[in-house]
Amino acid sequence: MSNTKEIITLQFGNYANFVGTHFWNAQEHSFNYDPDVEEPAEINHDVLFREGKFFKNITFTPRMLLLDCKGSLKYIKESGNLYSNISLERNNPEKNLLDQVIHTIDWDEENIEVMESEEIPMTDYQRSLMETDDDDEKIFDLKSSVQNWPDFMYTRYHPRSINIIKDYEYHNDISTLDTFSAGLQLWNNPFFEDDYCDKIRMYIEECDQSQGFQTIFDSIDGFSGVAIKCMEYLEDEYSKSILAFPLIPNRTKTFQFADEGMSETIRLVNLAFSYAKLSEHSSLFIPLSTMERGWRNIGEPRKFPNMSYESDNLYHSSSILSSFIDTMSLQYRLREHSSQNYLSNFCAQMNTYGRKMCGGKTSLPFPMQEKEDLIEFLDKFDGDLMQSISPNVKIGTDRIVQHVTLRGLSKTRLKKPLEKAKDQMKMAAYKCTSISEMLQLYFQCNTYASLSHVAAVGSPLQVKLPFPKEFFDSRIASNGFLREFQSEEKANVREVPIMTAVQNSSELANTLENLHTHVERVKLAKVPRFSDSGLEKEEYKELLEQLLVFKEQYDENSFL
Amino acid sequence: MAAISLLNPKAEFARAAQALSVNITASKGIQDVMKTNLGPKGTLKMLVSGAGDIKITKDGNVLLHEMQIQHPTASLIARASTAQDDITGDGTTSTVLLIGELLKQAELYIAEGLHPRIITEGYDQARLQALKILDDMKRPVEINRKNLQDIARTALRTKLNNQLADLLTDVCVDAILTIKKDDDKSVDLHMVEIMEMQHKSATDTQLVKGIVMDHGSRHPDMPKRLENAYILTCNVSMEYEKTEVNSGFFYKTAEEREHFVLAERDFIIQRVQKVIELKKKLCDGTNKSFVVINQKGIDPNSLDLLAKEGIMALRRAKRRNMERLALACGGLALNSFDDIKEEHLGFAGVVYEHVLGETKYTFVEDCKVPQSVTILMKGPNKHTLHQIKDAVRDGLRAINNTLDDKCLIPGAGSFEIHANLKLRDHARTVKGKTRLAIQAYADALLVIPKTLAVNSGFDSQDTIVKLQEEAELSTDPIGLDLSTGEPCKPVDLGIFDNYIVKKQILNSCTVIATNLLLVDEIMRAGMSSLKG
Ligand SMILES: Nc1ncnc2c1ncn2[C@@H]1O[C@H](COP(=O)(O)OP(=O)(O)OP(=O)(O)O)[C@@H](O)[C@H]1O
Ligand SMILES: [Mg+2]
Repeated sequence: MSNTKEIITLQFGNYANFVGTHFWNAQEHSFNYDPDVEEPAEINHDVLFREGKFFKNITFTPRMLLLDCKGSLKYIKESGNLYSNISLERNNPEKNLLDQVIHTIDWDEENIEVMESEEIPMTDYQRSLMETDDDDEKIFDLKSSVQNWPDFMYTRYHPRSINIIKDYEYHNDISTLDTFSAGLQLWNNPFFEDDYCDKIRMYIEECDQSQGFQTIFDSIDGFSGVAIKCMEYLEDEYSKSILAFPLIPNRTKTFQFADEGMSETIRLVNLAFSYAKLSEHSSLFIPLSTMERGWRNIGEPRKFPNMSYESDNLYHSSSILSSFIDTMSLQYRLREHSSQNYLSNFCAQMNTYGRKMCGGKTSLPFPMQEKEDLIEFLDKFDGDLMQSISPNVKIGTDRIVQHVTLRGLSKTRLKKPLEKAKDQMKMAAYKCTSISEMLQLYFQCNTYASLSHVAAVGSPLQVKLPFPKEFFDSRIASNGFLREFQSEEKANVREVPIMTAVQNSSELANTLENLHTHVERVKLAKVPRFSDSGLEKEEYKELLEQLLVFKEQYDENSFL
Repeated sequence: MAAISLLNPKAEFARAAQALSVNITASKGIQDVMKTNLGPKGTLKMLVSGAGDIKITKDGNVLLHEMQIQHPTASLIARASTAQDDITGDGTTSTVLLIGELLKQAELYIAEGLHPRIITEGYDQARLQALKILDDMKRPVEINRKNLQDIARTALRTKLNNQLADLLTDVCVDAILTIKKDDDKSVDLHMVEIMEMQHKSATDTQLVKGIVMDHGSRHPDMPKRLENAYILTCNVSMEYEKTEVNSGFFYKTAEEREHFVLAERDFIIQRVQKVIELKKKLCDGTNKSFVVINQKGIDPNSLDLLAKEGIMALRRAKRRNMERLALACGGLALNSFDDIKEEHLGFAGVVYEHVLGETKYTFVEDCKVPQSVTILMKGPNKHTLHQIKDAVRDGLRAINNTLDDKCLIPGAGSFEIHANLKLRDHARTVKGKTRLAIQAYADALLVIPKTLAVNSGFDSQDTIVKLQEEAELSTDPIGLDLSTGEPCKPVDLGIFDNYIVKKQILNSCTVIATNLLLVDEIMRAGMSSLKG
């Protein structure tokens, strides 16, 4: 009996799908197709992927459902692009597909009216995927050409995966599914009960012992309402762990019929609802954004040393968040695991006292030099090892509980062997025999009254195209470590070491209190679209109350 | 998809006078796209998305939702159509046409200086009058196969070719007759599952007097076919799960933890044993067999145990199927095995598995008094399946509406012709300018027979005149024979519409047209009161 414990991933909203697209691309890039190489058994891809069959072919696709508005798919068919791509066939005059289809319809042909939307041309990148296999060398300038997530989608999805909301349309500059309450209402659409939930059931039915769900969703628009409703449903129906990542995009749109000020208010209220309801319906949640502030005026892009991303580029920022999720989630999707390493345990370790919100930190890439050993690096390093990627969250080094994951460092980089060790031997850390042990020691020394769980995984983060590796600066070598010698020329980075942390601390009380203060000031009567979509005044009061109660879980009344 | 983007959405803020003409133009816009749909001779629309997704429909509401509607007026009309669909399941094309026509008629009078208020008041009076006429015209029906076939056939033939429509008519009628109780009340349509299988052709669609599930057993050694099967329907986890409380703090030692884990496992095994014991007691040494259908999970360990006993077990059944299985096979959906007994079980003559591509299907058939059935749709591709599914839904709704109404309205435009005559008579008894509005309303109703005529290739004016003449002479309702363009008696031809559909059309179209005429009031689109 395999001990795979499957996870189902749910994505709600456009930015969530940006992040998801990068996430699945990265998964697929870390597969090993070479039959001669022994599988570097670390990562168990069966946790996230399912094996299927299409005629005689075996397919391997994410156990995932995504949700977006009408029009966001562009040239991708709703049934996904796993089995065929009709757009190409449409271009083929000998095989005029439409005519073929018309002939098969049993209705007076004169009385069939074809209403054809203009064919949406594929981007160069997508076309290149149809033609040749990976060509990492070709240049597509994705950072300026990507308009939406299908434009950099590398992974093929199962026909079940793509779900489109017909009632709301995707626009470049405005978002139409505006409020949390509109999202709640949308959930009543029979589509969710009849189709969407049934697809979740079908995924779960295939699982022998699923460990739970990852949900990634846009927390500032109406998708938040849909996501929360869905989590409520998951809780009810499956009672398994739910880890949620509410997102705040780094570039926001205004809402339909609302100016910027009004849009800010709507975002704020949606966000507050998301956090409050997550405290109820998730097992654990980690808000993510590349912006420092996420409430009223979303702003100040986070800075990361050794890389320069375009701070308002969704394609860029989403790859940073995705690499965080990819790395921290290794905790519960490794092949070799003690019975501890499951989502349920992960959540239980992090959410004590009802503190279900955590902050996320990342160091992309992990700033070690090419020739350095970990022991030296940790000894010399001064400054912040990781940067926060949770909005309005600042967590220090006192009284924290954290889960740290470092990937991309082989065991040989731990320390020098005895005969060459020299000064290293003088350090207390020299007795550590594994990377995780040494990191454990490091955190013991660098935090106070804290608890750290540490995992180290050898395989680095793959940053093949369409990952925006152009944002690594010239200090980064092609293996992702800092170059020993400066060079003007950028390397073609293929993989990078990365460290992430999920942290809980009483300092998060500040975050929640601050959110509460902001949202308390909103006069909901001035935003009629909330009540128009069914929100009662009482519910709003309850929301404020719920946020406060949640915040109190973080007050320093216990030893943490 | 189509061109509803004629107008800038910011038009919401246009001034009142302009707004009125904007509303009228917008509603004409959708009317134009939709009018060719109406009736059995209407055009089938084939929608092709930018990515090549194909959708085939003749249904007004489906079409409206595939179009990219950005204009607020258009979206208000779309909502009326959705409401129509939610409440009755039919008449959505007529709704769009009638709203458009009510506005067009009003436009003529407004251009001559009549105040919109007077028109809206007249429209409302006319609506009440029309509802009375409708009531007078309804024909009580006995609930029998023939009458139900008439209504279902009429509905389905507006969506599918005759051969397929007739086949599905029988499927739908049989489905409802099978599960209907003796009191002839409408049925819970959730108890008719619509299941799709992408293979063969649409005409292989059939009614299964039992349950079909889109999953099968998950163990290679389980039987693929069983006869005389006890059915255990349950919602009891047979999956060993670690709960979140198992965190490190909880146990003093690793052994204690291991111990707890084992105990948990044991607990699940005992549950499975209970089922096995019952199976042994009831089946061993007989020709009977045993099937478990569980809403919760069943892990590989438990599957193993069950398979060894020759039990077929399905996990993660649809919640709704719990109820449906009990209705189809008898027995109870159990939430625990504590005192599980024979009487809790259902029974089916045969249970078997069918594999199609990635999907396994499980059929539970030969049930004694199936009160829940499955319509198994087949079709060679997605768009055909979609089309059939929409049509089957329409057919079932039409039958169910009839069970609710216990009456039908003669179709083929006969109601509109009749109501037009009666309303014109009535208008003559009304004083003042309101009379004009009532006449306008009467004329607007004619859009239905007119469009039916045009869609069959006949001249609309000629046809209307012929129908009106005939209707004035006849005591029977007179409609349009679409193959000849001549008057006909829809009752004799078995062409009927649902009463509730017509009633809802009159109500909602009047409300929406009124809202659109009184533009000031729709600035913030008061769309709340469409239902009811
Ligand atoms: N055989 C027929 N001969 C003449 N008229 C018919 C016939 N069958 C149906 N009709 C008429 O066609 C109209 C219904 O057409 P159709 O079903 O296409 O549109 P609808 O019901 O308004 O909208 P929907 O798209 O929601 O079904 C009714 O007025 C009905 O009386
Ligand atoms: Mg109809």
